[in-house]
Amino acid sequence: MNLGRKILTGNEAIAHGALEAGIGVATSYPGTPVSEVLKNICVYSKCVGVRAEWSVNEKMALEVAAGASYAGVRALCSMKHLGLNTALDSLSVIAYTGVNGGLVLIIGDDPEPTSSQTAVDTRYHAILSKVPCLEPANGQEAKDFVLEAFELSEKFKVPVIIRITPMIAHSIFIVKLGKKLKPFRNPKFIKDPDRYVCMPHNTKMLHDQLNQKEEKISVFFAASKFNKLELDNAKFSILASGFSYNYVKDALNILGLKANVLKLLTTNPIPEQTINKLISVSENILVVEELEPIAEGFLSVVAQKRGFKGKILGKLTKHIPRVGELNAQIVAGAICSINGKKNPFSKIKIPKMPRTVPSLCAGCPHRSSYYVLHKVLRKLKGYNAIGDRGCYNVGAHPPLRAIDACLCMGASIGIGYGLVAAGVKEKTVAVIGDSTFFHSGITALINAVQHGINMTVLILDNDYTSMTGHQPNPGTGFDACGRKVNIINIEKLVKSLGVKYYRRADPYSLKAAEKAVKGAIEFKGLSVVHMKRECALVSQKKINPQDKDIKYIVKGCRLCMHCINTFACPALYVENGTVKISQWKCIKCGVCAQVCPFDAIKRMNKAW
Amino acid sequence: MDYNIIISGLGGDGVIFLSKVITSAALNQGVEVKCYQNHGHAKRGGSVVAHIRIGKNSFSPMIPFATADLLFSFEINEGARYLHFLKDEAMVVVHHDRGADSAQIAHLKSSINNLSIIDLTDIIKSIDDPNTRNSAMLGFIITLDRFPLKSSICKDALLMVLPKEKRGINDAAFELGRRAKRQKI
Repeated sequence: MNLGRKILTGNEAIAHGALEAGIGVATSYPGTPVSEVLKNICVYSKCVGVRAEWSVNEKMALEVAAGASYAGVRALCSMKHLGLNTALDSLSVIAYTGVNGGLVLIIGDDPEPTSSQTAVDTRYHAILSKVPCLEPANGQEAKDFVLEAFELSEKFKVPVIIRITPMIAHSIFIVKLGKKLKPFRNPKFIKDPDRYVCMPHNTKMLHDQLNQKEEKISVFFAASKFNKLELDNAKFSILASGFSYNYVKDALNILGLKANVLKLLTTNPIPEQTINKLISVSENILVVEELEPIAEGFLSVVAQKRGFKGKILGKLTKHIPRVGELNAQIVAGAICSINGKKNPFSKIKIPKMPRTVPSLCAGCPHRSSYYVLHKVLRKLKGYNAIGDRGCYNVGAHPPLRAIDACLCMGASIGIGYGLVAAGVKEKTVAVIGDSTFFHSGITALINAVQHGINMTVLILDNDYTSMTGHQPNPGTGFDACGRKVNIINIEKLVKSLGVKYYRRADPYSLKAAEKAVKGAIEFKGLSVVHMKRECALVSQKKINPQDKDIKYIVKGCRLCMHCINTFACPALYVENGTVKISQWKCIKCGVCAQVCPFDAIKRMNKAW
Repeated sequence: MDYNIIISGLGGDGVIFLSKVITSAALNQGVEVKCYQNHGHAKRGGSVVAHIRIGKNSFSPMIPFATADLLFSFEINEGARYLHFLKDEAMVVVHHDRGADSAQIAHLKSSINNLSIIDLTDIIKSIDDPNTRNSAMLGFIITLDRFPLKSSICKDALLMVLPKEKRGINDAAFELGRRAKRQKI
């Protein structure tokens, strides 16, 4: 009955689709919501026949995939929307040179956003690079579109973007699977300098070719089965772009209303003929799309060309908000206000509940690093701590409030440098994680060393890209498939750049770590402290059996609250006039015992 | 008629685990199903919620407001957070142990008609494994009126995803939860 039907997340469905398409290379840099695409490619293929890797950053991931494509091998590259900012330089040129083996990019947008610093709309990247963009509306389409995207990529010799949101990536759907294809393996790079050597003399020709491809793809999309106009004998129509189609259908069901619905899944280039069909059956058209009013703008242009008399409604007319992720309620509200209907959702009150603030995990080495850093910094007249992207930016929440700014991957050193360059007198510290350091912190450090900047860089090294699920990075020692690979030694790297003050410290040994940080802060010039300790979520799984009997308890607490206010480990709590340690949460790192000014936290053997 | 379920709790409660079990039970029973999961900061103490939509008339995996038939939660506050998703006649099951906030219980009682407050820890006290809590919860909710999935299919789906050595105690917890319905809670 359920032959070949499985329950899969969107990310799993995409990974399966990639193997059904016979990919030979898969690359990625971790980022919510698409981190699980590459992971599942490794799981499903058992790393046989597919070369899968977590690349050092998104630009590298795309370039490796593009190289494979030049050699005629199908390649899949996944990253979050912000990662594509990093890789955009490459993408815009790859679009010009064109591809050979199919090249498909899975890009995860975050419209809310729930785990990103901005809500960039990837369709703009697709428009900018003149690359076709597909948007599946459910798990089955997510899988099928990967196969379609490879066909499309090879037919028109262009990279293809599949844009998804967390709603597809993390939701579970019933998906009918196909057979995995043996990867096409006869790699050969056929030289074609007019195409691959992208220089001004041939760029004009390549630009012209790309424009022609775009026109052809638009016509192809209009005739394709990707888009569907569902006529419901109504005068009111809705253009539903990508996943928004589901909200439109749910809203119409709840309201019991009729509307013609255009399910638009080819969101760049938007096929003009398809839009023409919609215009010809409609009086007014509501456009529902995640993030920017792109389809709405395009529809308005086509409508004007055709002398359309009705109204185009959507984000530009403020019927739908431009901020945050859509849902059925928002769409129902817009439909009601346009059709003069009472909105059944307007009376519903959302319960006011306290927001659960995420905190660094119990035993997190980053907490100890922050504790030491701020202990030293508090003695200065003033300071600025610039953070970066990773787990450690959770330390920005109270009570730690450990960082004063946090921008994008690898930006901490550059921003810190900028403060110093501007003449800010207070001590500047840049805090950066290991994966972020490899991603783009190294170039920033080179820039700072070259220009002799007086600042301190704290590298919080916990061996993994932890925030997104412990993917390996160049400092980890194994690759996406768990195979042993070379380790890049941060110490040797930093010293080789000419950094005069480098100290390595264990954040679990507070005194030694404090000494290293103090020396760095006092040093005139660029100083680097390398805090190294494995992520607590990994290390707690490897607790030594003989250590299982150890526990930390509080005895003689004077309730000075130092540990609660400045260290704030989630395992510490106050009950009945004393600080207590939750044995369930405690991972026995023993740092709180070093934090307590009255030695009231004691290491005990269970046998006692 | 479609059936919409919301499961909520904190990281580690087993929300994601149970949503997977119920979704595979639906697949095995041959009905359409989709499930939305929000677990952004689960490991870092955040709240976790899953939406399950059973039936062929639902489109988005996310349940629209005022359309959920059942909400079950492992924590009083995490249950109260999602009341706006419920239909008027929806069933609500909340796990409550001694530490829970009584003001929140009073609030829940005043705003929900079909509320069951159960103490899962008490139900499974004969089993020396707190992790079997969610199996007991599953055993309890399958006995609710209008719950669309068959008890045996749910139990099979539960046991299938567990390692062999854990099946026995979870089967027992499931049965304890199932029988708890008949006792007055």
